[in-house]
Amino acid sequence: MKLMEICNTNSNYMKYYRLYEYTDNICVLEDNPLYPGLLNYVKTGLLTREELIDALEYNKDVEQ
Amino acid sequence: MDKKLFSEMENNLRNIIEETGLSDRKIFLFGHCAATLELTDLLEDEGLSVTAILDNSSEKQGLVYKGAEVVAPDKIIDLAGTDPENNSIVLITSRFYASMQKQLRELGYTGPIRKLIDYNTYAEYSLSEETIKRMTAREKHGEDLTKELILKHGHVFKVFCPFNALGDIYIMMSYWNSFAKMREIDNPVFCVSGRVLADIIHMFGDYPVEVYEQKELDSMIQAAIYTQDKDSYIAHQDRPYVINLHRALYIKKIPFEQIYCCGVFGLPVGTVPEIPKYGRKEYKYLDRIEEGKSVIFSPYAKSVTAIDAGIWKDAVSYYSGEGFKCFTNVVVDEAPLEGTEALDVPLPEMISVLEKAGTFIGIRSGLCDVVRTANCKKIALYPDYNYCDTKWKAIDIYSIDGFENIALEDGDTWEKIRKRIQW
Repeated sequence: MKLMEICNTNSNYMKYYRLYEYTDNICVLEDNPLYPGLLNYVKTGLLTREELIDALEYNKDVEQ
Repeated sequence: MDKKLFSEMENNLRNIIEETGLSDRKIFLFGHCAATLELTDLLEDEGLSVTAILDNSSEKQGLVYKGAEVVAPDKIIDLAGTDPENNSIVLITSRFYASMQKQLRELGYTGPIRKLIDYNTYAEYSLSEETIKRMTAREKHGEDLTKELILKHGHVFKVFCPFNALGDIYIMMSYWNSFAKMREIDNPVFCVSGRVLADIIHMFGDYPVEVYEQKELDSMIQAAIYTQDKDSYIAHQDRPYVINLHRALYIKKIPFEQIYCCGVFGLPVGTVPEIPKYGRKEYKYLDRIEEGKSVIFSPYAKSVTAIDAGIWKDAVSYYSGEGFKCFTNVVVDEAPLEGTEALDVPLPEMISVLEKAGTFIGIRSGLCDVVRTANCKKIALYPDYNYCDTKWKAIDIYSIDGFENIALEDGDTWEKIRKRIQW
């Protein structure tokens, strides 16, 4: 699937993302009032923006 | 593991044995966790042994449990040998079943992969019409349940607590009021998956609580996500899949309380957690406890690797020899440690028991959170395991102020542990 299609919140990929977890290949970074997210750590100073990017990019299946 | 899940695991295992005749296959388990170890025990009871436990964590690889070594998942290709379809099987008890299944197929493993517990109803790695149809029906069911909730309570703010864990609920509630003030929420209804969780919530206030079966609650949460219901909040640190706070732990150590304070609720560092208003009810059989000369042991935790029985036995023997009366905190039919009396205390009364007893020694579980404000000697013992799939040890994340926090090491005995206590 293409990144732009997922970024478009009207796309089926985003619609299905909210219906169930159909893949673990997507990590959505959003500031959603309905549930917590990584941006809370940046807002509260626990993570820097650089650390946020590192956290998003981290691949646990690969020895870092 | 709670009884219902254990029973689900037993039934599924029985079906798999009937269907595939496990004795003729090499058995692999995926994910070195408490549930996997329980499954190993269950297989042993059936006269079956595990060939290897697969795990992506290099920290866990090399560990051995009942003869089964923890190895990297790619090792399965060699270990399963030729004809994996007929000679091997992978059994999974983890909530990450879908991603584990995907990884095994990507590695080229072609043998059967079976889920023993349906821990995670949110995930199915497919976009087939049939899956979408089933997931749509599940979401609609969630919407219906939510409508019923609104019919009963009127226009309320729904707080979803997706996971049945005492510690999560206790810490969540200790920051709830600060969050509610920040968001101007004054009409919450808490939705949980276990009656005991309602007891914890009621320690903090007279809030309405609705208790659901786990799968029903999951479907309501999914409906809230799908409809983007702004009168809801999912107050958890790593469930369901839309919550990605756990990723921060891959690069930084964040204590459990800060995960809730800053991560779940977005509250400033230093926000003072609330102490339960109704957490000090008096236990009605308090006269059983000898004041200042009793020890309450808490050896059981549903999601944590058990501590060697010899350590508990020696600890009981030590305190009995010192003239202490020893009790084991048990729930329903759990057996008390030998040489102790069973004590089944409602959670809001537990602090009164500990404060009269004078000493508490427990495996680090949610109960330790519930009694964290008790004024007595408290020891939390941490088995040597990693927090989820991170590099941090349990003690790094779960350490509690006011407790002696003791990480267990290989070959530990009660005598060695006692020397590390700093009283």
